[in-house]
Amino acid sequence: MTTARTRRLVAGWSLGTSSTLALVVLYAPVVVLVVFSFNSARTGSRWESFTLDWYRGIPEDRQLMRAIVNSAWVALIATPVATVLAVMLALGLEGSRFRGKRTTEQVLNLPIVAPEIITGVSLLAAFALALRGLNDLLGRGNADAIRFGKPTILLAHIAFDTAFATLIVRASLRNLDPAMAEASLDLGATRWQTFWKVTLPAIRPGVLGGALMAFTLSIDNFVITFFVTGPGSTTLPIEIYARLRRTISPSINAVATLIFAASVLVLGGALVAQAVGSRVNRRTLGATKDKEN
Amino acid sequence: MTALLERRERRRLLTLRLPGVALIAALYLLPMALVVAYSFLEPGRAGSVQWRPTLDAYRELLRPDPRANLYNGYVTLLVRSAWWSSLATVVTLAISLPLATFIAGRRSVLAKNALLVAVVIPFWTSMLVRIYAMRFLFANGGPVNGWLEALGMERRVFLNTPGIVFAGLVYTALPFMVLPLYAAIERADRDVLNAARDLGANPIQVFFTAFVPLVRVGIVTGCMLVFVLSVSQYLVPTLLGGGKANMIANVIENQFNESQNWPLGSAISVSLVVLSLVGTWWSVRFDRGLVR
Repeated sequence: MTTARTRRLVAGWSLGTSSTLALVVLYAPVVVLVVFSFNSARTGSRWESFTLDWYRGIPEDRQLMRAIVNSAWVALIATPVATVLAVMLALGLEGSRFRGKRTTEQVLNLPIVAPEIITGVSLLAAFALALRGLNDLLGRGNADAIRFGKPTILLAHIAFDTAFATLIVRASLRNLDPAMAEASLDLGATRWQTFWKVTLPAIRPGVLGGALMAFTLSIDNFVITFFVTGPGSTTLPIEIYARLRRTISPSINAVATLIFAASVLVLGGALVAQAVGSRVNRRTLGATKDKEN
Repeated sequence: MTALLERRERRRLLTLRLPGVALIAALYLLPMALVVAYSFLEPGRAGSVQWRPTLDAYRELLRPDPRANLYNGYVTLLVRSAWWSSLATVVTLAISLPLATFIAGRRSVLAKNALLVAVVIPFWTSMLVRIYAMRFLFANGGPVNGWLEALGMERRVFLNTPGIVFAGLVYTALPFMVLPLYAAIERADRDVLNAARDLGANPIQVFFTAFVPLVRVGIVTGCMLVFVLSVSQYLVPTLLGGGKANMIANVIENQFNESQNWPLGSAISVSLVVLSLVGTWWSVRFDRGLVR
């Protein structure tokens, strides 16, 4: 009896230790990076003293600020477009049966399963062909040709944002009782009214989650953007990549720390929204049940 | 009447789906078909193609000693990428299984959620930032070498070696393995494990005959995700390998950007997709119990 207990204790202890180790591996590089972004020394091999200088330098770095603005521009346009497309897709897919549904779903999953490098080069090839055709058609020469840049980045981002957001919106729509929308329609509401007053409020956490996911994916994306970017449309990840290939400078640590902090904040926001949303839903449902009694 | 209504409803649902499906088909399906087509064409000037069919790109791909001797053979690189990724998948699984089990075993909801969030944060943060963090940590003038020096040891070169690229693969893949594993363990029936234990199975038997079959879906999903992610990694070998420990994605990028041989780049891309599909296919076979 005692040996079994000891064995179990040892098992539990080793499980805890190896898990702690895994978490340390997962976090050590980022934690060290964050700490050293406050280090006054130019090299990372030793700690000198605490400073905020690297952060103070960011607003003065015009090239960096332009990259931040470009990234924000892309993400702020791609996110709402992708979210609307995702909600439409979710409504058109959930609870409907049609021929070719599996194929449709496989196509929609392509952005999620395709390796980014493959997406990147195929978009490069396709956009190059399309732009050449477009410029010939419009009779634009070298001087005024439409080139790779914000439009190509935006299209690429909307595509993968839509695929990931659809995943989340569909999940929340699946949990919704179709009887609610049916009841609304039976009571004489139009499709549009039903969507705004019944369906959307019920799936709001999912829609918000999908939008936040799309935003983060857009802000963070490097590999695909790298292939479809053009002069004057450098996004933040591309700018960082270009810099750290040249040199390791503490100012990159500060920027990287800010990106990390922003991701954590967005994720925190998404989790809080989800938690609040499910609580509200439970309360409304509970209230309806009370009334029934 | 109902038929009419049904047809109208069908058309409404189709209209809802159409824009999204059309966009993703236009930006994923068509470009990928284009790359497959390009792989059978001749290279043109400055990154374009000549519409003359040829198998040259595949011949070049299979050449043991290609003209660009920089990469000691594309097949070698493909094999190396597959080999490193398989190994990284196994190591990631070995690290993630205890962690996922530990998280699923927490009784307090707060502890469980806190641990889950801890895994989701890296999953959610920029891959570029995470890989850069590793590059910074192990740089020649970085913290690890600083600590080695402080301990009276010699500095070491970590960057631009196969070892650090491999570590980078595991590091980036970890959250992609933990999450599906956790989902599977959470769903698994604890009673089966207890029954196995009560019936006298030793811990190793319990693990392989009860636990692994129970969470197989999670293992397969996690391995698939990690393999496909790793085998096509571009940032890890670029930032940690520094051109000295390349993987297949590096030569694809090189053919499309610097070398501007799009047919060859396309042929390598096709071979990478085939490699990913083989990995996926193998996982599915494993899932169906055809492979042990």
